[in-house]
Amino acid sequence: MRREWVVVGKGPSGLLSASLLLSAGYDVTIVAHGQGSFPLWSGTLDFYSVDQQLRPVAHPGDHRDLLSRYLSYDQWLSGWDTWRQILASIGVETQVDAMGANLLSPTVTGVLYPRYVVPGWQYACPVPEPVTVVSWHGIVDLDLESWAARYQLSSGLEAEIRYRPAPPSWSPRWTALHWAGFFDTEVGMAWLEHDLDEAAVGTNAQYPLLLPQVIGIRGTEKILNRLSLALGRTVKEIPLVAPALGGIRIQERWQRFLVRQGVRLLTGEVILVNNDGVKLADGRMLAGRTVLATGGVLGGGLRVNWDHTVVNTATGEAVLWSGNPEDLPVLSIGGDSSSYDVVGRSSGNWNGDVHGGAGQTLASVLKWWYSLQQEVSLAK
Amino acid sequence: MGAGATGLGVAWDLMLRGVAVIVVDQGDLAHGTSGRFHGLLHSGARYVLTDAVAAGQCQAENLCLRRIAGPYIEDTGGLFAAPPEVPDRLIDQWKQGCRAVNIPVAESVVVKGLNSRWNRVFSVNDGVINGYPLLQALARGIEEGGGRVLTHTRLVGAAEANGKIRKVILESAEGTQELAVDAVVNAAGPWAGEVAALWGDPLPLTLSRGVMVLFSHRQQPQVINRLDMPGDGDILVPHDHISIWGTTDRETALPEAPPPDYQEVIELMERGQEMFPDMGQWRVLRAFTGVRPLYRAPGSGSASTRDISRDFVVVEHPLSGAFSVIGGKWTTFRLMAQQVADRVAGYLHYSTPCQTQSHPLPPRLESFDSSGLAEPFLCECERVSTRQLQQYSGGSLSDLRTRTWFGMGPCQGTFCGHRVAAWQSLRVGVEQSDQELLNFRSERERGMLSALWGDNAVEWLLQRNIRFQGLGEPTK
Ligand SMILES: Cc1cc2nc3c(=O)[nH]c(=O)nc-3n(C[C@H](O)[C@H](O)[C@H](O)COP(=O)(O)OP(=O)(O)OC[C@H]3O[C@@H](n4cnc5c(N)ncnc54)[C@H](O)[C@@H]3O)c2cc1C
Ligand SMILES: Cc1cc2nc3c(=O)[nH]c(=O)nc-3n(C[C@H](O)[C@H](O)[C@H](O)COP(=O)(O)OP(=O)(O)OC[C@H]3O[C@@H](n4cnc5c(N)ncnc54)[C@H](O)[C@@H]3O)c2cc1C
Repeated sequence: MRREWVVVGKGPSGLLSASLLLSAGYDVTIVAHGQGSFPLWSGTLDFYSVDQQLRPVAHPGDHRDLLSRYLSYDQWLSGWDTWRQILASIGVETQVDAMGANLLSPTVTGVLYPRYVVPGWQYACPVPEPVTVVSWHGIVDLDLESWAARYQLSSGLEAEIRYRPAPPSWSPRWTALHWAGFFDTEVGMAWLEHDLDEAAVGTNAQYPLLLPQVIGIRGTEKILNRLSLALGRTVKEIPLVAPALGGIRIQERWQRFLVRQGVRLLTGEVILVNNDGVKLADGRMLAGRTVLATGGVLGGGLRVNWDHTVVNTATGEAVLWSGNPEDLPVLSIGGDSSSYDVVGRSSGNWNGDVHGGAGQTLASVLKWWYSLQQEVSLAK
Repeated sequence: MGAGATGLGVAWDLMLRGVAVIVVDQGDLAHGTSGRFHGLLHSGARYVLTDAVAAGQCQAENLCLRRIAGPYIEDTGGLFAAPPEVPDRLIDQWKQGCRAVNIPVAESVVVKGLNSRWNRVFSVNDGVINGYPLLQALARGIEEGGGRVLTHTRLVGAAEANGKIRKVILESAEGTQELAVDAVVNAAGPWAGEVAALWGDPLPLTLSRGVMVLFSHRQQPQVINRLDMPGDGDILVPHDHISIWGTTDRETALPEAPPPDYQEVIELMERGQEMFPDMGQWRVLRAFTGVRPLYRAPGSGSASTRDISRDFVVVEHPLSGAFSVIGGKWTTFRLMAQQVADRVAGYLHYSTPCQTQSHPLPPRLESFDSSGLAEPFLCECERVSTRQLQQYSGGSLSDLRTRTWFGMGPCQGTFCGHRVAAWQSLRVGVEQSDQELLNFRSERERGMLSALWGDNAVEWLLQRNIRFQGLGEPTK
């Protein structure tokens, strides 16, 4: 069995595959030409969180029909544990649903949405509770008054809101990344602590205090803990849209961890795959067995042409599409080629856009991983 | 009846003659074809081979609109490029035709990006019409002159007395109302047949749809036409920073613009790549259709919809005081309005002659330069901040879209839809703004789905993720 692997793509599927390969002692190179979906991803691991009737699904175990297409129930459950452990090892603690109820986490518009595994920085609760939300002028995704009205509609509960002026260095050009960069500095942290002291005056200290998801990239947990201590209440974040800090934090930490462990991380566009490895658009060749974690149409692994032909960008192969838009999110690269494996969104059959991409990531990566292990033991 | 180019044009003309006018539209301004057209201020050169009368009218009105509606016209100039199969004889005929109706033609240099074999290129004085702002200016002018513009109000009936029209019955969210009138002008575009039926004299209309593809970049500084007999897919129009490629001509059943037919879009793209070989790689935004009403004069049995003259007709109905105007072009809306208004003014015994040839339209509303403001954009693609929204507050999300242009850029509302909806919810409540957001989403999605390739396919998937995963919007 070859020891070298090339993982194409650095979205959730690529990094998870790389971690598993690394843990089994393989020599891993990751190559990707773009960021993948992490910078768009709030950081929650969604498992098919609504059913056909759009009712919240409490637990992966409730979806046995979907599950069994991929893995056994036990494999699933241990899989989620494995993923949570990997996240913990890169420094991202997570909360998971308790007693068969999904965690509820409000979106940036104030809708309470069921989630499966939620990173520690994000606000989530098993049953709705009244909250206090503080935000600053200039964070356009979070409109507090409208948020509170919708939160009231979807939970029946109150949201106290405090809208605060932006910090002196703010400019209209600030994105979530600028805010986070500011709070990661000493000056930013001091401003934040002072501002929340004032903002919290007159609010109910029993309520958790929620902030937009801009509280640093590297120091998030440290800052949130410090604020919780100072204010004597839970302080957590509400995820925004893109650039989504939750996903960016996970991706940065994960990549740094992998690189420290000896994984090579390259930027490049794969245009050809064969049994020896891959060829990049700039002419470089990378040797190794290949797994495509190229993310379907959204991730750039598939390209739709004007005449509705679809191409696998990493191999140039044509992929069949019915032409029905509804089939586009579940279009698969087709794993029957002998020269590469396929994981993640590209593996198809699961509409991660609607039902949670993490479920698909986990299922497809684990399925690939188990069959690889079987191959290894047969070879022995 | 109808707040498209024709209806507003007629009202503007009558208002300037001193007639008290009310404009009624079932939707917002430009709800019909006037908001779903190609944007071309015709020089007339497109019609010289088939319809010299229309060509001459276009040229005259082109010059007139530049005078009276300057701020709403972009003087891009236009080119006609002949494909290799077009014989020189046809080109000569075309040039003569242009000269005959005073369209200035000159030889032009070859255009970059154009098929290199299309090397016989001529320039004419085509331009671009900024349709929405022009109609908004007409509406403002009408209101400033004492007229009224009732949008989101539908004509559902008419009442007569002694063979004269006396009342119209209107329906809106506020309920039903009757309006006393002395005359009615049916400028309901593709709906004109239905409207005339309300007073018992339905019109023999044929409807034809045209599909257009929108690209997110201004590919060429000028309008570029195919020099040939008019056909499908032969004009590329630059509009600010985007381009519109079109169009087709297929008979269609209903006045409401149908979603683009994908096969029709592919054919349009195939045609396009004859002219611009790399059109398939251009960043596409969406596709949309518009519907033309063509008046089939009783007795004429023409088979193809393109053979019917683009000329317009004014109909005086048996019911006194009821007029209809059908057909024409955006470019000639003022002329059509004049001819209708002449008859209406005559009927009402107003003797003031038409003023519109020399009376300039109201100036453009100052557009906010938000760059210096300490205010972020809600819509980054089109640079719209809450200041612009406030200027038009009162409308639905879709009204706000066509007035401020939010949600019209490459992301098609992915990143700004929920922001503007949140702003709107403070005015109309969460439930109503959710409903408006849903309408906005499906309108935007409809256009994206009909041009689902390249980065636009990626954008559409991103939009779904953000809506369903990120924002928790309902999936159905
Ligand atoms: C806005 C948004 C929010 C989401 N929110 C959630 C959420 O909250 N919870 C959840 O569970 N799921 C969420 N998802 C879904 C989830 O992110 C995806 O379904 C899934 O994780 C896709 O991961 P992937 O690794 O398969 O692909 P991607 O993350 O798309 O990664 C594809 C990678 O492949 C690379 N690539 C592609 N082609 C080539 C090539 N030819 N050469 C080199 N590199 C190439 C790309 O550059 C990229 O790095 C969200 C998705 C989006 C877009
Ligand atoms: C695909 C296409 C491309 C075109 N491109 C160009 C071009 O590039 N240049 C050019 O000069 N011309 C162009 N035209 C022609 C031009 O767009 C039309 O001639 C013009 O817009 C017609 O305007 P209108 O006011 O007559 O009709 P519309 O704009 O359709 O107005 C009719 C109005 O009546 C309203 N209405 C209907 N029924 C009722 C009712 N019962 N109660 C209340 N209101 C009602 C509708 O809501 C609508 O707003 C194009 C046409 C098409 C179809």
